[in-house]
Amino acid sequence: MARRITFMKAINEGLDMAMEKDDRVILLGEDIAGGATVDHLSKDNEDAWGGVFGVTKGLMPKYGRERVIDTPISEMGYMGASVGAAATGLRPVPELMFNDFIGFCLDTLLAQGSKMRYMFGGKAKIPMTVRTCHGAGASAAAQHSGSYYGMLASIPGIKVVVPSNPYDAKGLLISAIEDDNVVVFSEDKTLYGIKDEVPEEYYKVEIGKAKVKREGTDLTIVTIGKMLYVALEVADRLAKDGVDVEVIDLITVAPWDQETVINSVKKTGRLIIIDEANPHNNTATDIASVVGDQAFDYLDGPIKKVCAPNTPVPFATNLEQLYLPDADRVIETAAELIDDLKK
Amino acid sequence: MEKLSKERAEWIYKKMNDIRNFEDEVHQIFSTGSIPGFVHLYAGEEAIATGVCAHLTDKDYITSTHRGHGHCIAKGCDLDKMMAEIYGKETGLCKGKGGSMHIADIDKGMLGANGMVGGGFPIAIGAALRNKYLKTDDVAVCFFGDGAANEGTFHESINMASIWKLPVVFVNENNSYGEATPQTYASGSKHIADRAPAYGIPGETVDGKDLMAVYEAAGKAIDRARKGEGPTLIECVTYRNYGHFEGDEQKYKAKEGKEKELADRDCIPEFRKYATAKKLLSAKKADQIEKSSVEDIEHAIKFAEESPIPKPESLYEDVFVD
Amino acid sequence: MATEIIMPKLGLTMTEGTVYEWVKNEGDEVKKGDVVATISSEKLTADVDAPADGTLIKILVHEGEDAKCQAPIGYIGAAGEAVGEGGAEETAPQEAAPVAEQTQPQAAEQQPVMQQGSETQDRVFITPLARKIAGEKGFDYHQIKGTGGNGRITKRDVENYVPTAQPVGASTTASTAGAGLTGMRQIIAQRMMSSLQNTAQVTLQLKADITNLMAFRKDLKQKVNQPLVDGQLSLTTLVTKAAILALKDTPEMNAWYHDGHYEKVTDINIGMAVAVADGLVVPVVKSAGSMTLTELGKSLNTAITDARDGTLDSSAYSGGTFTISNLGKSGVEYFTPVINQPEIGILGVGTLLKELVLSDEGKIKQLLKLPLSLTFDHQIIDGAPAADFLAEIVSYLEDPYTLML
Repeated sequence: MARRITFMKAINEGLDMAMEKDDRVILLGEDIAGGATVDHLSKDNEDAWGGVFGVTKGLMPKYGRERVIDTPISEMGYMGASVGAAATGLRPVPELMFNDFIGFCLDTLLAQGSKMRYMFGGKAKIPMTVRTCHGAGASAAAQHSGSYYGMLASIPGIKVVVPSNPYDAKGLLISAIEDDNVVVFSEDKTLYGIKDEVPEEYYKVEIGKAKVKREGTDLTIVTIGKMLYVALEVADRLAKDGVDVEVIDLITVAPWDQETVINSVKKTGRLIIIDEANPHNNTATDIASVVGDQAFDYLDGPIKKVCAPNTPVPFATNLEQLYLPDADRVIETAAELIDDLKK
Repeated sequence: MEKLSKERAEWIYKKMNDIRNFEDEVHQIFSTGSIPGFVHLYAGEEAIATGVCAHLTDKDYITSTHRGHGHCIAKGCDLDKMMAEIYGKETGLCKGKGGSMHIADIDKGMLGANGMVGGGFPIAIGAALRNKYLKTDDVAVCFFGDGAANEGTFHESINMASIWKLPVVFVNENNSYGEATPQTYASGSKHIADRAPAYGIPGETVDGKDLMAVYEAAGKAIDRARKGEGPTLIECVTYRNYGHFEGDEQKYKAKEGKEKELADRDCIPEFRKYATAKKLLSAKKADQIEKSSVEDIEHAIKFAEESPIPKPESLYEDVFVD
Repeated sequence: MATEIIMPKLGLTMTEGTVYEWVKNEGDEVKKGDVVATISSEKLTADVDAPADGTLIKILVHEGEDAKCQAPIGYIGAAGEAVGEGGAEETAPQEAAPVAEQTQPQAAEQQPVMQQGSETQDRVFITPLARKIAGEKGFDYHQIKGTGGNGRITKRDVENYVPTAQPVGASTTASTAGAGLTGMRQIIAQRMMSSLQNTAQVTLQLKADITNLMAFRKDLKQKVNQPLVDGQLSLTTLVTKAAILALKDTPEMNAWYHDGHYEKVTDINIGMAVAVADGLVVPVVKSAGSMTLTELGKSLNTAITDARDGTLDSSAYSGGTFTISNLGKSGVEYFTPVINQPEIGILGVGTLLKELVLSDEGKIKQLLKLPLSLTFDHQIIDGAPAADFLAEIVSYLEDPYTLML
């Protein structure tokens, strides 16, 4: 029986074990230790923060400031430096504090890291894992709450993973760091506190493989990250009406697991996708399009997307709750797909 | 810093000629339509790439710019494969998938020409961070134009290189115009090197047409970097013989005055004159080098023209490491 | 200004016809009333007369092609007159087709013209999966009720569907029947296929002892002492009369089942299957219930003769409520006549048989027996009442006096 630890601790442990295993792994980011060069902290080999959420707490004291590098507030500088370090043999894990800051440093992913291998005829390897966080629900307002994993997933040459639970978070992070490609590891900041069983050993969760979290025959719900919990609630509620829901945690947004999703839709004939990203050109849209194409003859109803509205994330708590997809919204939005299944 | 040896002088003279011949030929061929895409030529700036790279080994890294052919040649990239790449051929350094703006050869420490103005700064400090982290005495050199000096990456990267004392040298090639805009218009500081003290690093402006001036400034800066004393900013004042890109009318270039004087100077005969006077290069050897350089470029063109185009399936290859 | 030659509407249920033959060619002069073309519909072949004097300037619908009723099939105008492109297009037969019927390429589309406005009701929503399963099971999904969102037919609806009643001729399968055939042959093929696919046909067989009837008939003929030219006492007339009397006793059988609606009909309209040179037609004697034997005999004679000659008015082929088919001349005893939809019953009359029986007195006696085959639609009528109905016919035939009333 594994211990129960938080999502945040699972990530910390994944980083720790990856750093222990391979000294080419270095961390860069703003205040991922904090208090650099401050005498009284240096004397006791202490970090000040360990990241703005404390995810990297304790790693600097263990591995030193050479490997846990506090950067100036210079996203394009350290994200680009990570590309350069990766291209020359290190395995950097930069932390982009909020995925909303991608605007400052998009070039490093869009035009550099993702394309080098291709542009250079296969000679470069960019083994870099960008840790970042997304998600509404923390009253962090419009510039610190967005979900842009889908936007990054549209760039060829980048893998994007979105773990939903502590077990996957640790295993996926280790897989990402071992991967020789640019991997964006997007953490939902509102999940940092959830606890679950996590093995103590070094283990990997496969990138590109979705997980069926609940088997069912009537309706498939595909989720990304935290939306898993919304789907599980929907499944519980619909079970009372005799509707047998299959829930798939996509886990990897790029490249997403078409086989698992399409096989499920072939079984159930019905599909709802819950994606916290804004609704247009997001991952849900892509899934709907691929399923509509590849599984057309198996569809027993329209594909339903349940996403955030096409607005920035509002600050006021009530508005933010309205913004986030929840079970009521799923059941309401997809009523025409659900109602006739009820017994 | 090592004094310029006879052997190094010959190497420099060969590279300078290779760059000039390569670029003049590309200019010619481009006008015939045989080369697709955008091409930005380095001719006129040869003293900088060669004067800096004369101090580097294959283990040192450089980042380059969209005007990168000269850096590639100076860093030791194969001329045949470079030309094939510019032609978009399967035998190119990047299998025909990079082209003029993305020629790279990681084995030679050449981290790529870069289509993004200012894109090289953070990559160079990343390579320097790697060198420092692995406790090597290898350095990284970031070549950048006067236009790139006004990108945000300049600030972030030089600042970080300074605070972490990274083994990196920032070599500015101030060829007077960022695209079609004069450097004097686009920069608040008169000289780009004037900004160095603000980051707490040494800065120096040198005559970029003078091989020896570049060679000596770069030598000092690279030594400093190898010794772990941190980055240096060198501004080399130069001029490009051609336009920003092939097809540029160059209406902005001055027809007389100081700019015209700079434009009319040619670093290659200047260096030949200097080197022969200093007995670093015999006239006979210089002639030989000039001849063999022409032959090498002709060979490269023939190689490129005779090479096959990439196979269709290569479209899908090398997006990811499998 | 050119005059349109239109596809005539011959009877209530005709929605389109096929041009069988153009008698006149483009450029021929015609007089009003001249036959210019022959068309065939589901029941018959008919001539189309020139609507005006002039020249046949344009044939729009060529031989073998279909046109909706009332749609132009050609134009008569002044020699050399051109039919405007726009005009011709506006009235082209395809344009006249109701939207909902465009998916049915062949002439067999039998939706009444009155329903042209109801196309939105005809748009059936069905999921890709349900459509696929319905196709695999051979279901006409138009018959399946959708319970999904927007009334959409889902997999569950198809799986729960039990194919039962289907409206006459609406079946996709039936409408593709007769493919490759033309004219009357195609129409017969479609109607026969539709009938067999859309009804639950059961045939009952029973012999009527008409020894007394034949004796009575002979007696009567002698007493009248003049030729009964109208066929008042022909066996066909007498059997028809018996059927009419039985239908009066069992009004459930005098009915239509059409488009999912079962409807008893007040009038008794008897259809009589008649073999003609290139097929089979069923002229109808309307309001036969109130006819005397003479009137009935006369009407049947006229209908049969005119049908064979092809001179019967087209409306005389529709409206039947019960059909009689006689194969007696061919020596057939029993057979399984096919219901003439939307009717729900058809009586097959076999050949007259002589049978020897032992009388109550122990004597050998010859009887005249008439084998009868009743096909009924089990969707509407069950076996027992249908058997009663057949027995009713038999009892009338066995009791000549009741036939005369």
